[in-house]
Amino acid sequence: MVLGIEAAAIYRPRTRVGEQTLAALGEPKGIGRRIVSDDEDIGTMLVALLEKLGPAYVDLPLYLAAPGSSHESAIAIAVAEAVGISARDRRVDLWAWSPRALVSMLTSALSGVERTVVVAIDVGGRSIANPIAPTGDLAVAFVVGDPRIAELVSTTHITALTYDEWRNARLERAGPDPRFVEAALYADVGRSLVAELLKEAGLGADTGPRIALGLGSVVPFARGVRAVGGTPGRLALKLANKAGGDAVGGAAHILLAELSEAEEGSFVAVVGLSYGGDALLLRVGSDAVSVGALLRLKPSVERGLIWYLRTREVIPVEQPDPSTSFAELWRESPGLLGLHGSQCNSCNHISYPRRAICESCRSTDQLAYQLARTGTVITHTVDKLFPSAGQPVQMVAVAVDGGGQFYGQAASDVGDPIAVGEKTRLIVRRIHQGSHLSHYFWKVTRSD
Amino acid sequence: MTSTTRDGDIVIIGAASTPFGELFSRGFGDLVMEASTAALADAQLGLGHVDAAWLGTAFAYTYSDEGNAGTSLAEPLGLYDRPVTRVAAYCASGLEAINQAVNALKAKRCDVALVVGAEKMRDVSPRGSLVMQHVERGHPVLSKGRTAPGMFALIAERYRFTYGDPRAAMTGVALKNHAFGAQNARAHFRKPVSVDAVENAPQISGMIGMYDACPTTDGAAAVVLTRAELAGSGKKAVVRGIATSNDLGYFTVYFSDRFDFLGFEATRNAARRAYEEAGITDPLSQIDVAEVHDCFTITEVVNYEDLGFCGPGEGRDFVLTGASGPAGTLPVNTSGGLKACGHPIGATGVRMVVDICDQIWDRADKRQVEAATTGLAHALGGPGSLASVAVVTTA
Repeated sequence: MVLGIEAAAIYRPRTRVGEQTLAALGEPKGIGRRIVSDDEDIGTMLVALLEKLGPAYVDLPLYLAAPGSSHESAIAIAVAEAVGISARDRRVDLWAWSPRALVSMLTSALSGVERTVVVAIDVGGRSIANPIAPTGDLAVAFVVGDPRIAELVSTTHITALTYDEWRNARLERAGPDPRFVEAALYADVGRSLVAELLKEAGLGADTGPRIALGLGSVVPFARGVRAVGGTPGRLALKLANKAGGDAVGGAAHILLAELSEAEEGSFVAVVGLSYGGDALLLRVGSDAVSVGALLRLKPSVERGLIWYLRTREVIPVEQPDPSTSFAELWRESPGLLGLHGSQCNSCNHISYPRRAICESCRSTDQLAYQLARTGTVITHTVDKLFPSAGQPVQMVAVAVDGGGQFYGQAASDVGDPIAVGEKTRLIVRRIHQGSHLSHYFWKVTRSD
Repeated sequence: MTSTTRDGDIVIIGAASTPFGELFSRGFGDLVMEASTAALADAQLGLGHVDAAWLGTAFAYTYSDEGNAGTSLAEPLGLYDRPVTRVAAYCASGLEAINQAVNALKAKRCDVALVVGAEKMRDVSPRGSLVMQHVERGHPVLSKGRTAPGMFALIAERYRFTYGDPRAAMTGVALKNHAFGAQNARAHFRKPVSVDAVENAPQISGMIGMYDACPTTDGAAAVVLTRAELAGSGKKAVVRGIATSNDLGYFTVYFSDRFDFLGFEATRNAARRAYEEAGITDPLSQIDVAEVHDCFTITEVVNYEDLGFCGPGEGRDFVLTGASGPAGTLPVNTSGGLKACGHPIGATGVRMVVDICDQIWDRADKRQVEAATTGLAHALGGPGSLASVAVVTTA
């Protein structure tokens, strides 16, 4: 029987829209916001997140809440499987992309009898208060199992006609009245949920847990948390207002923030609201302090207003959409994404893609070989001729560590062009769209 | 080099080319007919003498509906009831077509062979160009990001890292070849260029700027070949050696660690075998004039090294000292090369042989290399997958 949160991981994009861009979009003054580069999507974020989580969990059941259709989530899982970071026979449950989904997923996982990976992804979101402005993109994973980071104490839920009109990305008509939302949803439903959690746990009303609140609200985070009955943590406030996502990923991010600042033995309530709500109460464990390291941001690449407007399709951009053979993709992508090469058993020559006959000695005695993910740049070029909706593509040739050679695009968020001799690694990114289908391949980025 | 013919030698007895350029008023059939009839007239023969023909066209359905089979040559010429074969070997299609004709003549499967190289590239808008076609119809994964200028820009960058900056040499190639092209009435571009224009041109990819790249072009060229004992007393050019070598894949060429981004094994292998057949042991002293594949200026620089005109890393000096210039040890691309003539892909290899024949038959006019008796033609396809080399001498 699983009892709590065992491990966690987070993926934050390298790309940032800065203060000036956000100001131009009508956002209040603040720090930049991390959003995905133009070659990232749910699939690439899931791969990057699961790689950070590590190989120990590849075959655990996976709960996934992400935007878009279930089709897009299925493609994301398939890409992760082809890369080798997700088991082929893994059970995947897809959840709705809403602020309430985090609590639902955690509650369900924590009530189960097997360890589970819970993944929350926000990408492509727009602020409900300002639909032209982005909300942060991120992906968070929790491994539900041994309660090293936090232990489940109690769960509860309420259903109510609170008319909150949550939307995942864009307002289709006039939004909810903030006064009503604050009063009805937060102060009424939210407070009731927390009170019930404490009562079920046998804790006094003055226990005062930290609150991790699902966002997606016109009510500012701090006011929302106070209305529920909590006190917004300093880090959580900063993340919620400035850099976090606005849906399930944002809620997961806030939970990590609260866990990182909470003392061992104290309590954190996770509250997700929408036409009522769900909530669960966690007791902070001994490993919670390690969560802080996950939240530290790595250097970013800043992109400007025009880039944002084009890549988020605020300005329509005609994208090339060549015809693709689905049969060819089905046949070849698994091997290409799996970095499946061959090593000659006669002369040790390494080839990628895989070959049946050695190109060096023509032996047919070929062994399966997986190309390494790191290497050194041999040469490169920034190509202004290849059609690219964003900045010109940099093509890079890499001498792969251990043998073999890779030739492909640099990731679109590398910043300054990669130079000869630099140490690099391969990451999965979207390379283009064809027949309305995203195509994925390895791209080159600098080694950390 | 002392030249004689022996029975069984394969000789060129007629050679001609259409003008190269943007030829909207001429279709594919018009071009092959013009080149063929001119080459046959040069050989003092008629269509009735041709008992086999080869058509070198690299990318038939990319721009037009024609060139996909020998039919595209047979139909406009009425060459029926005889074998007419299309040959495709990327940018070496023309030279490889000549290679096949040589093989057939040596095997006595025919007596008079007509070889035509042709490509019609300008009938489509830039959106329908070779680059776009490759982007849209190439491998759905491996070819995304790959362009011809980009692939050679990678070579220029690696050359810089290994030997030093090739920029001045690349400029030198552009200046030389456009100067030659200005004197060639058949060239696509017939104006010289300046250092300033070359080095301040819009950049396409890495070090490759607009003046470092050859254009896409319409054009056709043709040669007529036979065996020496059938040739009569007229002018002859002997195909002393010819070879094609395939050494790397197409979409996977840059995934092979056999490729060092400093030169092309296919050129070295094709040259070695052609030289061996032709008795060339010292190319620099034995070859008087050369047409080499200068799709991009850096390509000519590495071609010098791969063809044995100089050592590794010495290609820059070969052009900067004037060795490949009009008064140099081994003038290269006196036609203007692909840079100035243009590059109708399938036609290029045949055009090179036509230009070599003009040199050794002393009809190159202002571009004539004095006392030229031995010429070399080189084409590189893929790019980098394969290459063809031919050595042609006076009889």
